[in-house]
Parts: sequence; structure tokens; C-alpha cells
Amino acid sequence: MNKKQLQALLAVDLRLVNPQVTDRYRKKGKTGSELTKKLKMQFVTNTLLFMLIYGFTMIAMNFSKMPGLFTFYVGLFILLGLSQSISGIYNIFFAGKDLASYLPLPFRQKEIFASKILIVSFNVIPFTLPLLLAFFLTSWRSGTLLPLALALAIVVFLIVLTIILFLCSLIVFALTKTKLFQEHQNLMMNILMGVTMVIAIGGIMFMSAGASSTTVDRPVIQIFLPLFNIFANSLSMESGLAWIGLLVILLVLSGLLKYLIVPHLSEQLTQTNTLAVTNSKSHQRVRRQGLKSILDAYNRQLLGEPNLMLQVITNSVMIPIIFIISFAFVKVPANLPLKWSGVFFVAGLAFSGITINQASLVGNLISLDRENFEFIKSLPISMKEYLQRKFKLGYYFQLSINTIMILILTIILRVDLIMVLALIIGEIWGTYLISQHYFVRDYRLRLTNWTNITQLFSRGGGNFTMMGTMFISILLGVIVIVVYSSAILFINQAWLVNGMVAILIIGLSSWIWHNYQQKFWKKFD
Amino acid sequence: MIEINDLCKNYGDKKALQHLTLQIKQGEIFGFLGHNGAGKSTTIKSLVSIIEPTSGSITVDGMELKEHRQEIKEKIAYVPDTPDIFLQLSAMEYWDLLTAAYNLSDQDVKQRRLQLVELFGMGEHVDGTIASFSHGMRQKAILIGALLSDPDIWILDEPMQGLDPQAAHDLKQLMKAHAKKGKTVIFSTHNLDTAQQLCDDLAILKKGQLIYNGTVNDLLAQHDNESLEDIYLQMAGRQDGGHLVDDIEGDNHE
Repeated sequence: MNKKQLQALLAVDLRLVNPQVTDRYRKKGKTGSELTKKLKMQFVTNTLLFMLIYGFTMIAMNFSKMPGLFTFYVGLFILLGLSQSISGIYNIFFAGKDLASYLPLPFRQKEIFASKILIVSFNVIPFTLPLLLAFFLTSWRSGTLLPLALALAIVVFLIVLTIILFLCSLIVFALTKTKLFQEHQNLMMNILMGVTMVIAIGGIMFMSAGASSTTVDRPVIQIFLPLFNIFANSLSMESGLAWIGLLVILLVLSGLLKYLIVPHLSEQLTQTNTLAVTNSKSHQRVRRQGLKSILDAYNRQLLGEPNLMLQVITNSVMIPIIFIISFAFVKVPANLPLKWSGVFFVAGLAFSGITINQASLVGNLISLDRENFEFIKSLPISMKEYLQRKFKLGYYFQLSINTIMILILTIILRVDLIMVLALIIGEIWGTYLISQHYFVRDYRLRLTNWTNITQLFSRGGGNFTMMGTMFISILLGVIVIVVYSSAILFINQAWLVNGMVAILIIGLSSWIWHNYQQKFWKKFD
Repeated sequence: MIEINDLCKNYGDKKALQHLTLQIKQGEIFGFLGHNGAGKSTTIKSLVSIIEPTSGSITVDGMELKEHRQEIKEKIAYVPDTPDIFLQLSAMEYWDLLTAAYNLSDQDVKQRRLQLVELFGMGEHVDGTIASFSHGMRQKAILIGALLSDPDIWILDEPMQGLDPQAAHDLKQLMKAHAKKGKTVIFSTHNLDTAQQLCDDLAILKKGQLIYNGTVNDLLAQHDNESLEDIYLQMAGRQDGGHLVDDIEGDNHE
């Protein structure tokens, strides 16, 4: 392995996936290797911070006594890791617009593979950190010394992460070699990601069927039990066998990659780039029906960016579901009286807070314009109207996803119709307000020279911010709903509580709405 | 020596290159001329491994490109037609990336980099990001990067675009000096004066087909007393007698 080449490639990729953080450091005068060091440190700091946040929630669970809960968590986050790895590998290796910049350079294939897979891992780690924590807590609670437990957890976490990344690499690289994929690149990738998502959600639903509590164990998922044995019975025969199993899987996957994929990497990337150029079809001609319909057609064409829609749906559906299942255990009693509708309205607001994030369509539509946005500013058209049309597209799209999710969840949980209505009204309003936030954020952090859709999603503080915001939204949502429900339950005059909450929501909403009107939309009058 | 043999490239139904066969000798400056869409960039991108030709072969010093991609890439430095690459990097970080790619040590390139930075007047901008540069400055940063490794084969796709007159002049001198050292320079251009000044050999392409391959002098000799522009327009141009411009601008335009 040529260390210098690997470091050089890694330095580029670190800047590419953290554009805003890079700019921040550049403004402080950091450049070259100093900047790279800062970016690496930022990643480590975020990881530690995240461990702490997750830790507070998970510390209450004694995994060492509950192998079922342990395997449930492991299953959940391995599924999430698989789904994120598949999209990450495809985006970073094949869908980047910078592929043509790399191809003429004489980097060795091993270094290109290693640097790219490391960047994918940086994107996947925030989603899989609960695994590391579950490993550590299980080991520690089983009586292993703290430093040993930490070392053991880190080693196994790295092995599991490597297995996930290597397995997904094999799947994506094998798929991109097939003729079918080469002829229908976008369609095939969307199908693969769609299937991954369906399997992941199906798996989550299957695994979460049964007890939902932090004190009663769940049924054990046998395939992940060997991992439990490594931490709970470290010195047992089962633990030894689990180690052998893990290492054998790792070696087999490494061998397959080493001999089947890496030696042909340059060739495969050149072919993919050629296909991307060859298959680029001209856009469907838009009939001249006035500016509005042309702009709408243009905005819809932006959604054709490879991988965009499924990534957006994954981030709006799968990750929130995993987090809701992991950190908020939901049970809804039947035949609730009308006084509870306020709680459901607030739950709808909270639900929007969890599902809309920096990877949502509404939070990326302006940047999808690339340099066109600056050009459009020079045209004699109303920017306010242009942006409003964009916002509406993003809002309606998010609203559709959220409403469908609510309908599915409420059917599964058998929620009363009136409460479903309250939930949906809350979600409609919440989605509107939170969409405003992410739309304005996109304008503020807009990136016109992005080469990879992942760069857009990782603006601001990267995936850590996304996961952190989602996590905090869930915590806050749970706290608010619990407090509100307790008030309804224990205070006789429920109308008073509901009235106060209504005043609070109207006041807060008006303030937020007014704020965005004044600080953002008015600028374009 | 570079040998392009029966090279074809199709983009869907469109034939971008049709049976291109030519040789580029070591130590010469070779120019590709042709209208937009004639196949110049497609040929160059095939040479630098950005795209895979539909059929045909390219060999460099007897090595087949498909079989020896890594070795051939180490001999080539490429300047793309649009300098919008690695925009998130500073100029210095971009040059560091290329230093690592060509397996050079900082010591090897330091002197050369300083000279090139001075030549192109980039001294104050080495820590600026490429994204923040003007088109011409980006082009200069990329030209410096390409020359760091003192490549055996220097391939430039429309390199004069966006350069100020001084930088364009300096680049021409560099291309001549590079070829004088026995290294090969290949470039594409729309500028006929540049082609006439620089090229030892040239290829004129039209709709993916080679319509002339030889020296500029031979071409001029074949068309008595005509300028290169007239000859080129006769061979590759549109035969409209200028009436389209008259139609658009009226016949009083100058």
C-alpha cells in the first residue's frame, strides 16, 4: 500500500464530504496537512460526542442479561449499516461527477479502493455507532474490565463494519458489471436501493414484533447470538467459535475483493464513466406552456439526479423508523376521548421534526440547481416565485411521504380515526414549518459545485448533525408528549391544558412563520 | 510513439469517432483541429482513459492502453477542456495530490513548482481554493499541476481558453520547450494561428472522421497561397456563403 497516495486521496475525499467544515477551517487559515488533521479530529470528536449521547439512552438497558434485546439492536443497526453502505459505495465510487478528474491520474487501484471505502465508512459510522455502544455495554456489564471491554468492543465493531462494507462492495461492484445494469444504470441502482430498503424495513418490522420494553427481553435473533457470546461469555467455547466465524467471513470477503474487484477497479470505473457519457439522453422536450410550467418541468427534471430520490426516501422513512423503534417505544390505547386529540396533534408536529432532515428533498432543491441558480438570478423573472415553486415541490413531496407513513403506522397501531386526523393535521403544519427551516438552510449553505449527492446531505455538520438532530427531536418529542399526556391524564380540566397548549403552538408557529417571512421571503420581494 | 488504430466511439446512435488511425511521434507537437463535435475531445479522452472506445486500439511505446493502463497513465499528464476539477482543494493541495499520484517527492517538484508558479503569476494564490479562482486562474493551476511531473506525454484539451495573452504566450513557449526535450505534446484547439505556430503535425477531424493528417507546411503547400483559415474552412467548414450572418444581423454588419 502506497501510504502517500492513500493519504493524498483521503485528504481530497475528506474535503469533498465536509465542504462547510472545510470552508470554516480555511477561513481560520488552515490548509494542507493541517486542515486534513483538523477534519480528522472533527470526525473523532463527533464520534465521541455521539457515543455520549447514545450512551445516555442505552445505559439503562442491561444487554448482558437480555440477549434478545442485544440481537435486536445489532440486527437493526446492521440493516441500517447495509443500506447506507450500498448507497454510499455506489455514490462515492460510481456516481460522483469527479470520476473523470481521477481517471487520468496514475493512482494505484488499491489506494483508490482503500481511500474511497474509508470515506464510505466515515459516512456509515454515524449510523452504526449504537452497535459499538451495545458491544461495549454488554461486555462491561458482563464483568469485563473497562479498558478491555472498550478494546474488545472497538475491535469487533471494526470487524463487523469491515464485513458490512466489503459485502456491500461485492454486491455493488458485481452488479455494476452486469450488462443489465450497464444498460439501465439508474433504474437498476434504484431497484437495488429500493429492495435494500424494503428488506431493511421488513426486517425491522419482523424483529420488532413482540415485546417492546427495556426491561423484558425479546426473542433472540439466532444469527446474531454469536456476537452476544463474544461479549457476554468472552472466555467460552461459543465465544471462540464466534471469533473464528467472524474472521473466516472477513478473510473470505477480503480475498474475493482482492482478487476479483481491486485488480480491475480502474477498468471498471472507466467503463462506468463511459456508460454515463454514452447513456446520457437528452431531456424530454418541454412544450412551451408559459414560464411556470417550464420551471416546474425543470424542477422535476432535477429530481432525476441518480440515486437522489431513494436516498431522500431512505433518510425520511427508514432512519426515522429505526430510531423511533429503538428509542421510543410506542403503544396507543384504543377508544381515546376527544380531549386527547391535542396530544396527537403535537405528536404529528414531533413526527415531522423526526422525518424531515438535511437529506430531505426540500432541504436540497436549491443546491440541485448547481450554477443554474446564479444564472437564474440574472434572468428577468421573480426569484420569490421561482423559490416558492421549488418550496412547494419539496413540501408536497415530504407531505406525501409523511402522510403515507402516518397512515401505515396508525393502521398497524390501530389508532382511532379522529386521532389519526389530529395526527395528520399536526403533521401537515409541522412539515410546513420544518420544511421552511431546511429550505432556508439550503439557501444559506447552498453548494453549486458539488460532485456527489452525498456532499449535499453532509453539509453543515455532516451525518452526525443529521443523526443528532433526529435523536434530539425524538427525545424532545417523547418528553413533550409524555408531559402533555400526563397533564391530560391528571388534570381534571383537560380543556384548560389543551387551550394552553393551543395558545403556545399558535404563538410559536406565528413567530416561526413570521421569522421566515421577514428574514427570507421578504428579501426576494 | 503513440499509435491510434481504427478507433471508433459511438454515443448511442451518434458516431463520435469513425475508424481513426494515426501516429504521433515522440518529441513532436501534435494538434487536433476540428469544429465542435468533430471528435477531438473524444480522441483525447480515450487517450487519457476517461472513456473507453467502442472499438479499435491505442498503443503507447508499444504498450496496449487497455493492458497497461497504469504504466501509460504514469507517462501522461492531462489538462482537461474545462478546468472545473477538484474545486474544493487549494491550488497547493491540488499540486500535492498530483505529486502523490505520480509518486514524486516534495523535493523533486519543489523547484519546478516554484518556477511554474512564478511564470504564471500564481504566487499570491497558492492557498486559495480552485473554486474561488477565475476561469483563467483555474486553467493556470491545472497547467502547473500537469507540468510538475515533467511528463513524457503532455495532453492538453483546448488549453488556451481563458488564458490572458501573457499566459497564452508562456504556455506556447512551454509547449515548444517541452517538445524540444524529446517529449510529446498533444493538444486540441480552435485557434488556427496557434496551430500554425506550434504544430509539427496535425489532424483535422470532421464529424468523427479524419480528413487530414500531416504537417502544416504540407497542407499549405497543397493549397497555393491560401491562408490556413481559408483551407480549414474549405475542408471542415459550413458552405453557406455567409448569408446566414447577413440574415441575422442584416447585410450592413462588419
